[in-house]
Amino acid sequence: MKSGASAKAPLGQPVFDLERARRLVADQLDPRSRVLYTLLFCVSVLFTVAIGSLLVTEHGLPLRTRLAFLALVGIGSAWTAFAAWVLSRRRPLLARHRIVSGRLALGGTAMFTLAAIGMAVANPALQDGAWTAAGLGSCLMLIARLYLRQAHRRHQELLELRSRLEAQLG
Amino acid sequence: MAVRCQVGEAEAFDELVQRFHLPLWRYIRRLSADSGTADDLVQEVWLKVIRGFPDLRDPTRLSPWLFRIARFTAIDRLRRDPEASESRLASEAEASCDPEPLEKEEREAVLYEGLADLPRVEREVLTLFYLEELSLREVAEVLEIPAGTVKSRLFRARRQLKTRLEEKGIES
Repeated sequence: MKSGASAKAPLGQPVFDLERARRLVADQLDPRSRVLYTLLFCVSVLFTVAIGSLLVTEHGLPLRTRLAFLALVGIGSAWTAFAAWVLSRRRPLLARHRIVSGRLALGGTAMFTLAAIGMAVANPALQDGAWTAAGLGSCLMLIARLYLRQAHRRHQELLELRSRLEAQLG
Repeated sequence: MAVRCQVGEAEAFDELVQRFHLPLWRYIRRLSADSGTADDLVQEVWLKVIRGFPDLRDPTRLSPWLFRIARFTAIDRLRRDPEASESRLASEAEASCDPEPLEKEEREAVLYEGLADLPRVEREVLTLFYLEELSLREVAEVLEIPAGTVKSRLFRARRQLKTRLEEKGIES
């Protein structure tokens, strides 16, 4: 099979660019971009949760501060939506990628929850907001745990299917 | 191979491209105006394939799935840019003809020329069944029509191709 757009082609099969396609596919499968977008997703979700917790629990805040917090929640939500769109439409996660993403998400949410608990214990003034954030962080941690478990299951199913098909083919 | 791709093995994707790039290009080439358009379209197909791989439900039906994506991509382009469908297969086949072509290449050139004269529906079904060697069931999946319709289209397409070749003074 030839490669390169300018190569001499057999009759009726003038030119096509295999190398271009291989480069395109390799670039699309680059795991770094998936890790980066997973991190962006986790950070923006946790940022939104943290700011949202403060906004909901701190009642004595001036109007301008509340508006600023609201804007930050909006920005965080927009980044979350963008990262989710990229990970579902532009750089979809295959079985191995899902396991890596699940681990990142679980690690991130666990750290966030521990940090929120630490803050609630250490700083009584922020107790309400910190406990709310810790509660939401726990929920996100649970979701990440379920996602990781499902990713492992899917990976295992595919490996079993592969073994089965290879056995059928001899 | 499809399962390895779904797992996320980069080498499996490379094998996939090496194995299916030419068949997909050939198929799209039958539907588009020139090689350049076909090459651009097949790159677009690979993008869609990678983005759609997590949605591939039955990895054993990889070929029809790939050709279906190729078909949608080509038809979508033809809808947006009708000039892209203006077939110049025959002239391209002549242009790439060696001074002393091999017998097999000569036969292929005649076949391509005959195919170029057929309407898209007939050209498509002949390409998938004879040139890409898909089964009747797979062709039916790609074209999203019943297998019986594929058979009747194949019958009609063969008859039309025979007539066109005879008009050019070539015995089938």
